[in-house]
Amino acid sequence: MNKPKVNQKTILAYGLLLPAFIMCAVFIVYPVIVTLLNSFRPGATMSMSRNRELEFSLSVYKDVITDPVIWTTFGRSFVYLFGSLFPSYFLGLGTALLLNKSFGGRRVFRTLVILPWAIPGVVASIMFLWMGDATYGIFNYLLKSVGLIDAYKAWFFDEELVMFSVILPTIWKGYPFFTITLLAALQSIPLDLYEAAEVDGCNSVRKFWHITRPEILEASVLALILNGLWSFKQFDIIYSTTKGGPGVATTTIAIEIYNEAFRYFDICKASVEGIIALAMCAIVVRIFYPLMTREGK
Amino acid sequence: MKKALVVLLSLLCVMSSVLFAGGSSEGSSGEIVLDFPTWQAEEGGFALFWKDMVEQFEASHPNVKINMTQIPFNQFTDILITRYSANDAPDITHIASRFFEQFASQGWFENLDPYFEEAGILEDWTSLQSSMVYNGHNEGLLVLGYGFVLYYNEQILNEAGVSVPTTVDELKDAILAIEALGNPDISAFGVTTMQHSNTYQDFSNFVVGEGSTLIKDGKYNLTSPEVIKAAEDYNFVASRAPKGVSTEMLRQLFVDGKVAMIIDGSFVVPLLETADEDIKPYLKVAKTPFDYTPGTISNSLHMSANLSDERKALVWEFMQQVASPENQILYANYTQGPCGRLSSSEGISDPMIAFMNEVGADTRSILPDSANLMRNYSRFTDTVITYVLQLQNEGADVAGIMAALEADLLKNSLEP
Repeated sequence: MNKPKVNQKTILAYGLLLPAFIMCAVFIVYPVIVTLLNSFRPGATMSMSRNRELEFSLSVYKDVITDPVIWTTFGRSFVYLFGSLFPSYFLGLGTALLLNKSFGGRRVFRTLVILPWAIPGVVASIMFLWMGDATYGIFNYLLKSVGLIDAYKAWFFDEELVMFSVILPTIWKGYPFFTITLLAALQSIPLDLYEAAEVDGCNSVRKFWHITRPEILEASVLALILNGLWSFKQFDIIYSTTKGGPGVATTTIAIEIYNEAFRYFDICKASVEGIIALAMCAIVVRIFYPLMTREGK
Repeated sequence: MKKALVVLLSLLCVMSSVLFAGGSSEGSSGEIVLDFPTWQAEEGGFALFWKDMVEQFEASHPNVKINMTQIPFNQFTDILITRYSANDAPDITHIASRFFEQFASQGWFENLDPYFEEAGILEDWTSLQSSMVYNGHNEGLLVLGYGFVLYYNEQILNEAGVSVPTTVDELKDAILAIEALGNPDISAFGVTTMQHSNTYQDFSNFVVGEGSTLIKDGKYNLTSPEVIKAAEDYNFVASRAPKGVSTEMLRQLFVDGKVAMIIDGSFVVPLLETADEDIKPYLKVAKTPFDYTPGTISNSLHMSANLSDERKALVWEFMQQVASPENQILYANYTQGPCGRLSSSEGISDPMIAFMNEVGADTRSILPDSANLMRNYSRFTDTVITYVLQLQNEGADVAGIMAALEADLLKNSLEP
């Protein structure tokens, strides 16, 4: 008697999964397959129907992998990634710890803290571009007023400063994600753990290290991985401020792939770079994945 | 089970309506809709001109409607490439002409030679139309080609005791004289000083304006004494220009009276009207201080090779309407820039517009004279810009930078 019911439930379950499955197949699996195929077709262009006629070859993989420029670009991507990821994390952790306490005006503060997340990347970029303007920017005015710089700096033009200049809006835009994630994790920690620690005479640092840190570890790793992947493929902030310049000073792998595909029309090279970037991301996720699962504890 | 089926069917209906939703370009009453995306639908005088063209066309073709849509310029080329790649090309294709060869090399554009021949377009059109030739065929109608001019602030030049420069040496003297005024809020000369396509343009203006070319006899000419001299002159002005400034910001700085001189196309003319009343009378235009007037192409109309014959005929009629003598005068008046039809420039009475047309009629193109480089225009100019940005530093090793640029271009298979 029960068997048909199980079947109905199974059909319903698969049926409900079907839309998600179709969406994944259309918008994720199919593009990945097309990208993979194009990566083996030297001479592939924007005309996908013509690309099918091209012969398969590994030559572009060889060219890309042996080209030191691509590894420099990956290196630059990691500078940008780690330069923005950890400051965002610690800023997010700090604000989450603050918002986990009761104080007057907390609701207003919470809204203000989360606000950057809601602002589109391009808008944030333009704001920072204006603030960092070499002639009239407020950064220069403030820094010169307090004596930190002697002369106005071209924050988005100077090759030595520009990476920092694009990292800054990325941090500003990225930290609220950590705040929200870590705040949720903090609020799920049982208060009696802290009470017991206080009875045992633990100070704030020891309470943080022995209770808070392990309890938010899973959430932290998950948030770091997600934010790391987003930063790795970050495009809008860099492109709308520097377009990868001056020269190639802020050309990360995302900008490089965009340029190869949509500016130089070299779909094969762009696909190869995309596949390499995808493989790198998969390896990083595989390494850190156990940390956020129970098995990894 | 019934409930489950109802839920599933509803979901499938919603999904299929989302996935397969699409528009029809033919109305229910048999009305034909021509798709015309452009970045100029809301751009000052250009918008007025295109709206006028759409209204004229719809009035003369009662069964045709033109759907002109605005797409921001920074997304425009990407969207168009995506549409062409997906076999969803617009009926009327309007592009920034510097991307012409990149589109044409994909086989996306129709050969317009038979149309041009029948209408006699080429006999009375700007010589810059030659940049619309791919594989020996015209594949586009150049709407705007222009010569660069010197915009200057007469008040600042007067204060510095210098006249409008007519040579590069006079330009340098004028810059030094303005700097000697010691006003930190005013820059003597401006160029684009960030990663921007116009950085290439600013540099090439000096090379071409001083009578040289980046390519000579099918080879790079970047380390020749003439090009080095032009690069040194560029280095002189660019190292003194405000840093981290885009072309758009630079135009605004000039209009605000913060930069005394810039070299630019006709796009600055409409902005002059927006200047403060106490500055406006002093903002003037002259020929560039070069031996030759550098010029370039701006935007053009094209026909997708994949359109039906009926739509091709309509698109050509639209192009022909744009190219008509009376509409070319209208174009010059609306946009305050030069028009493509040579004979139409004689009918322009406004002195500023007449000057722009006069300058535009006799220019030397700053575009590379190489089919390979035009096909790889973005990669070529990006490489050049990387090195030109180094030329903007004071005390730059100009000869070394030019040699490194040439080597890098060749290393990247960007042979002329």
